[in-house]
Amino acid sequence: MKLSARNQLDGTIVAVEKGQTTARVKIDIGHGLVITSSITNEAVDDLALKVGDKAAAVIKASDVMIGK
Amino acid sequence: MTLSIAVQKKLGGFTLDVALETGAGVTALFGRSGSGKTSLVNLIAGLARPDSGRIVLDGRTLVDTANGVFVPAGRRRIGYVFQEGRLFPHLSVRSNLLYGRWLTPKARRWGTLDEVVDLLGIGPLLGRRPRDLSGGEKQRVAIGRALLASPDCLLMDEPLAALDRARKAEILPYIERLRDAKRLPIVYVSHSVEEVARLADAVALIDNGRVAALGPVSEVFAHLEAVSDWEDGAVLEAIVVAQDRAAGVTRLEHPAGPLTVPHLDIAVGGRARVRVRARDVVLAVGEPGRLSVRNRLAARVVAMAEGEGAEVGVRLDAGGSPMLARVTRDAVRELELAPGVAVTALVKAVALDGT
Repeated sequence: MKLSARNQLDGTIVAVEKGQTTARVKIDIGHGLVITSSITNEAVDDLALKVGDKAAAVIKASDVMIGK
Repeated sequence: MTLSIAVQKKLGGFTLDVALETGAGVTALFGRSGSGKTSLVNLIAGLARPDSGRIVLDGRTLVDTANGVFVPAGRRRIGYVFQEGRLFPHLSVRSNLLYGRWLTPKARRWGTLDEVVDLLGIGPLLGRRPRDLSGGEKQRVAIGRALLASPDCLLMDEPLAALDRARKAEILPYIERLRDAKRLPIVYVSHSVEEVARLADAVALIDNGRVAALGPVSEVFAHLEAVSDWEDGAVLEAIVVAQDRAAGVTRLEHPAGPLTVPHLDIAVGGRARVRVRARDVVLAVGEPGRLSVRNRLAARVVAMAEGEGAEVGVRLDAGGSPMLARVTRDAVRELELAPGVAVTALVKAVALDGT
């Protein structure tokens, strides 16, 4: 798989919280860092995402904000 | 009914030079502040005179500088809705609505008070004064007043600009109904991509006093150079094929592939417009693999435009629809993107909004 998205962070799913349409999925990428993603419930079911699974957070460079 | 315009007028820093023909439906004049949109609308309305040119509405010559024709604003049969309602504060809503009607000869009137009140959903407001109306209600009354004068053409200059998001959402369906119910040319000035994508049948991109691009919304908004100053993207027209209430999503069919978007209030079989922001598109070469991204559109790279900094605008053909993606130069190199390359355009369902 080759994606234009520049950031692909591997980690482990630590939470899957389904809402009405969208779900919040948290991925622990190590060093005590957790990335939160908002995706459809359908995507959660499709990928059978559950706590403990290995997964990657994919983020476009233009979506990354920087704080200092 | 058609409105045909060919005018020139010297303004402060540039010359307005526009040739435009519009039919029934909404033609949006889209462009940044100071591009000449409002000046053009004022020429159509008769609030200003062109240096040279002609304006013809439904066969009636309103302006013809070569032959000394200039029909004054009040006799043009053109309705004008301004950014702020400009209602008469001392009159009730009903009297405001009927104000323009008395100036219209009976034989030329179309539509009744009841019909317009019903179209705009303003029945409960008839006895009120303008000061007791919300911003959205005022604008609906202003539109009703313009309609009741039985115009041959309606000009709307940023009619929603003064309203917050919720009020905009409240009034947009009424403008859509107006567009669909009346065979009336509507010239709609806006610099909102969302509004234009939702309402317009055609869009004229005005830049520096000239028409930089003209055509269906889906084509003009894919003009990379033309809209790069705004938050750019493309509009995909698709057919609603299913409503998945349980998942809270609407399924659409587009020639480039199926689309899933957050629930749209459109019946199965109806047409939807989905706005895809260039920044929300990820490109994949080869099988994208198992991703949460719901929408995967088969596309081909048509052209690439290097912008400033690290970004590159990639123009795509997705099943015959123009589409745009903004990616880094880095990604272009790694994926070996070039005109002709087949890609999959990936867009999260939650990043899409449609109408």
